[in-house]
Amino acid sequence: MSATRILIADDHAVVRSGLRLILGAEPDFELVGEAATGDEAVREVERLRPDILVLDIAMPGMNGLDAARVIRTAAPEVRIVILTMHDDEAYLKEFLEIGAAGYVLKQAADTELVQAIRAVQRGEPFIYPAMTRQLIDIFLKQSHPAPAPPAADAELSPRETEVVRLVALGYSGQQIADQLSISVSTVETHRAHVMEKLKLHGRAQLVRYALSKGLLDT
Amino acid sequence: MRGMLVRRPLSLRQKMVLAMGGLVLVLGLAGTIHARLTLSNISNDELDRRALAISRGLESPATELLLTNDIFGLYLRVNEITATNADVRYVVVFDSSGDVRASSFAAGLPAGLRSSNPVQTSDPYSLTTLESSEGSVRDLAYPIQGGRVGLIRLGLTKKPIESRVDRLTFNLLGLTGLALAGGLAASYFLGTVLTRPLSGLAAAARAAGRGESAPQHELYAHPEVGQVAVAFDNMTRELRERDEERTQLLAKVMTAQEDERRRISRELHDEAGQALTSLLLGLTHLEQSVAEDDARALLAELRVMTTEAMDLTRNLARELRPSVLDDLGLEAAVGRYVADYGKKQRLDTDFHSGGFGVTRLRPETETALYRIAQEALTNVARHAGASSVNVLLERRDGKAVLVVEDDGCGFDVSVVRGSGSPSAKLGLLGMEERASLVGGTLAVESRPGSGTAIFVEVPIDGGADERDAHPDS
Ligand SMILES: Nc1ncnc2c1ncn2[C@@H]1O[C@H](COP(=O)(O)OP(=O)(O)OP(=O)(O)O)[C@@H](O)[C@H]1O
Ligand SMILES: [Mg+2]
Repeated sequence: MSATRILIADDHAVVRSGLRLILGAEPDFELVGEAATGDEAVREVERLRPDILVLDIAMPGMNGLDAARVIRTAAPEVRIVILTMHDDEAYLKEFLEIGAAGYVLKQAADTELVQAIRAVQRGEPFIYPAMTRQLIDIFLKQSHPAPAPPAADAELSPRETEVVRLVALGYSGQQIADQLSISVSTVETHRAHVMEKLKLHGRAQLVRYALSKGLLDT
Repeated sequence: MRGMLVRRPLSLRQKMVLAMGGLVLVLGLAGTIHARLTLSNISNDELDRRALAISRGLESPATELLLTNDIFGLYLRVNEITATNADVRYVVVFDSSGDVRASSFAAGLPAGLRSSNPVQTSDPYSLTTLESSEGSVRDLAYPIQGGRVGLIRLGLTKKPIESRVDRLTFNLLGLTGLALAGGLAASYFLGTVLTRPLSGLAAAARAAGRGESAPQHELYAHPEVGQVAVAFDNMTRELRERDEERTQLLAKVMTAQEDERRRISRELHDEAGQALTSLLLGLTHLEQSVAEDDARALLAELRVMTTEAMDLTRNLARELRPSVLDDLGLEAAVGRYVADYGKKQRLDTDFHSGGFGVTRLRPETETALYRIAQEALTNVARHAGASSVNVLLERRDGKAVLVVEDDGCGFDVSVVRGSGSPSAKLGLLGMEERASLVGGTLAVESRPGSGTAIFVEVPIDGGADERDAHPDS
């Protein structure tokens, strides 16, 4: 079985040398090249066609996100392992959408990078275990974009419906009062009444309710 | 308001009206009284002269008739006088012994008339005014031939004079009334004309206070108020310029602060973070290549410490300015912040966002809204004692809308806003400033006991707010 050919893209020489140490210690890994910027990474991938690209996010010029996007179309067979300090769900989501195969935190590079490269090379995705929670969140959010409000399906009066719509659009009590020519306290009464009827808690749930009832599409 | 307790001084117009009214009234009344006195004096003199003339005219025929004892002739004379002089009330002719020889009184002399007007021996006659049931009567006692032959008593009524004086008084009072009305109207008008430019300036000053000043060009030519208007306009212009300078400065300071935070955050992340990363990797490599258990244990410990240092560094960088805000945008950054905040503060958080799609807002707008959300949530943690916070971030109708709403203790917005101690409370003010610097507005709705909601609206101009997703490089 031939060695896994790896390209490293990170703008920091210290990190690259660290990576060389770690990955070089594995006999079945072969380091074929290095890149210090996103553009360079794209060029080197084109030229060297590695099996694995270890890619940093924050890089000068074209950053990791954009580089990954380009490489996914230019060389879809190259598997990308993201190596980053960011544990934000938003980055993870972004990379999953782009189609990266692995996502490893630099804080865990000592233990998990090698593991991740092996898994990805076998064709399995690898995500840093601590991020599983976030991954599940993303999944849940996508499968239920508007988590069904616990609303008991109660009838709302036209006035109440209008108040719900405006509250959901983020209008202040004063603005709603002005628009409907009623007093602020009447607005609050309507709103409290609706929340009570529908068993909703908080503005965000009210927004989701309004969305699910199509009150916001005009 | 304090001003309500103080008695308000009279306005210029009120003063003018009062002065003019008083003047006209005093002049009119004094003139009337004077004219009345003069007219009645003149008329009385005239009356006296007439009484004397009539009596003198009667003197010589009465002498003859008395001496000849022609009572009938005397009677005819007396009758003729009363018939030809309408104002003659009575004529009585006494003889030297004081008996009545002729009288116009049909039913005898009224009681008290005889003794009512005695003539001193040194005087040629005596005049006096008697009050009768028919009004005042001017009475003349005229001794005939020095009293040797008899005495004439003549009474002239003063009624015509009095009614003439009264008519005059009435007319003068009427004129005074007219003059008063005219004077009041004129002074009111004058007062209005005089104070109108001042009222205009006052209105302009109020408008300037609201920040909507317009120059008072039309007042410049005004002889009295012109200079004030010019000075006023200069003042408002300077104020406006200073306000603009202040706003620009503030914007610069905020931008500089944000840039600095971004720079330090990135430095932490890049330099410190990457150095720690390679340290971690180096330690790992070393651990794998040394054989001694002691050294390996130590290296493992060092690795854990390095990992912790990396976490610290990353958190610090994120607190300064999250790179998500630059790389992925407001929605992701606020969502992440709310989630972290909820965990750290043990608060129920509910975040909803929508309408943003893939287009990004202008970087200043994103920064402003992110910082406002941060500050609002900090306030909730510090003051509200809330059990849950809702954060809403939406884009609709060309606006970005942020709502941060808690179910905590609430507060009296007007008290906190009005408390005029600008030094201490910068949170709410700062949020407002940030919103207005990107052209937006901020509203706070809160009442003690019923939670607090912060509403921010920032206009985003159509497609112009789209930007390259990565301004940093
Ligand atoms: N969410 C809230 N719930 C209850 N009270 C609040 C809330 N937000 C603000 N307040 C009240 O308004 C006051 C002013 O808030 P502001 O943020 O301006 O100042 P601060 O938080 O006291 O000080 P800082 O300048 O450090 O922010 C607070 O002291 C508090 O009494
Ligand atoms: Mg505060």
